[in-house]
Amino acid sequence: MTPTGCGPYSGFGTGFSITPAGKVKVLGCLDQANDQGDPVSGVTLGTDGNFYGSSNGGDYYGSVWKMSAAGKFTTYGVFGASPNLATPLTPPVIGMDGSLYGTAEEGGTTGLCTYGFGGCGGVYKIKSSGKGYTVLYRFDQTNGANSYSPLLLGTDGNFYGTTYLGGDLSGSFKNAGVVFKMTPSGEYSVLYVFCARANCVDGANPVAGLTQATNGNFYGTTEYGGTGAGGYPQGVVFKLTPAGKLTVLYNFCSIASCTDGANPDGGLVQASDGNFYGTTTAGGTQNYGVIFQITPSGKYTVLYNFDYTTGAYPEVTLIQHTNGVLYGDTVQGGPARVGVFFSVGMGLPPFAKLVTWWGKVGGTVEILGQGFKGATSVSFNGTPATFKATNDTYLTATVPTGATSGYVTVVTAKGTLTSNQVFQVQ
Amino acid sequence: MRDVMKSDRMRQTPVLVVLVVVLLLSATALHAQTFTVLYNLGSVAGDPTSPTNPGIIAQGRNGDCIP
Repeated sequence: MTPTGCGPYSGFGTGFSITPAGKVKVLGCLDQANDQGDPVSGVTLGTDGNFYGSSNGGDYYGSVWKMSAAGKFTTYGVFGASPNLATPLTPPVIGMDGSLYGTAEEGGTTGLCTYGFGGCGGVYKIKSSGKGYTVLYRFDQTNGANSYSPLLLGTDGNFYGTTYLGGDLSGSFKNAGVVFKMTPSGEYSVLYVFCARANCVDGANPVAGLTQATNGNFYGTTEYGGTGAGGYPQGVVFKLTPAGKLTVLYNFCSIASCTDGANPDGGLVQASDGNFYGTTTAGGTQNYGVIFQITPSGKYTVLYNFDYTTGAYPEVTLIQHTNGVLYGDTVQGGPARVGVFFSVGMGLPPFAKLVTWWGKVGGTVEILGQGFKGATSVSFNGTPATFKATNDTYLTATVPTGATSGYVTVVTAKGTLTSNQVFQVQ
Repeated sequence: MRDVMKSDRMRQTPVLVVLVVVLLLSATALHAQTFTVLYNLGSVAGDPTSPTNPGIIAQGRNGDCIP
């Protein structure tokens, strides 16, 4: 999803797909007249095969929409003036009840955060029926303001997110954002307030959301803060326990001239090797950003320095495709200077990905992968299941009687794929 | 003196071989991380351009990425 494109006279945004080999297909153009204009980032695959995303609306308040696999857009929820929410910057995610949950940067409580449309933003819910837009929570600045990131559905069924601003407003280096937890019913609590430590050595202003690692802890990045050089510290990678204890794993700009990267806008993805991968928008040997790897214990390695001809200023949170390869994009660079789509191969094997990682016995579970046309068995923590491969990259399986929570495995002609998430039998 | 130097070189040969092997192995390890530009956005009219913000890249049922 890009905010521009679809020709010079309809530049309200483009929905497109790209194959793992790099073939781009424009699926459809967004329409400002239906409040769909100016999408900022990405989509979520729904259990119905449609993709769900949002648009900040440009001069309007924005919307949530769904896009069919063929590229047909349908407005799903329209935002409005406070006390409604406005300007959703990231796609919603699916909750365990099948509803969509997301954040909006603006709107909400009037009289606070008076820039833009005003209000500090909040969290919304749209029922799976597509009707029933509900404001679940309005940030009040002291407990967060202006979220730029998507929510994360935690393994406990609650949502976790970040706000770029808000929190402690008492000092000149404050207003640095928070990490929050919210139940599906809207019960909100702050897990961590950034700049809690002197000189913001614990990080400040997270742009990206969180990822929950296999060890249950949350990992993320901040754009500023830390102990890096340059007069204004250039961000950190952090670990946060579910109880709210934060550890800085890496300070960007730890090396002279910030050749190790600076100012990450993107978040982290934990790949199937257990390591985290991310990007920085600045720093690196050319100051066009880097791709990095960091282990759970904090060992940091720059994998690639962007040089503009191969891309520049990535803001993306990478995805690990089920073929094992990492993919991402850049905002600028490339021959046309408007970005590139890239891959990073780390030699990691294919795996299976669950569209939803929870369900009851007898329920249907969707699985992404490859080589499914030749699949011979699907098991839930060792219990065989019936399944149907719709195509080579997608199958559905029925949670079998006697299944227990654990990894899902798919046996294909080329080997056994194991899910990167634990399936929870409800 | 020349023979002594030749002898020294011969003694160093196994060390050099080990170094070459180590370097080759290192190169192989680096090769395992392969950065590839798959597509230059804006290559044709109507192309998507300038994808911003750290959202979610989805993987579709057909295996394609939806940025």
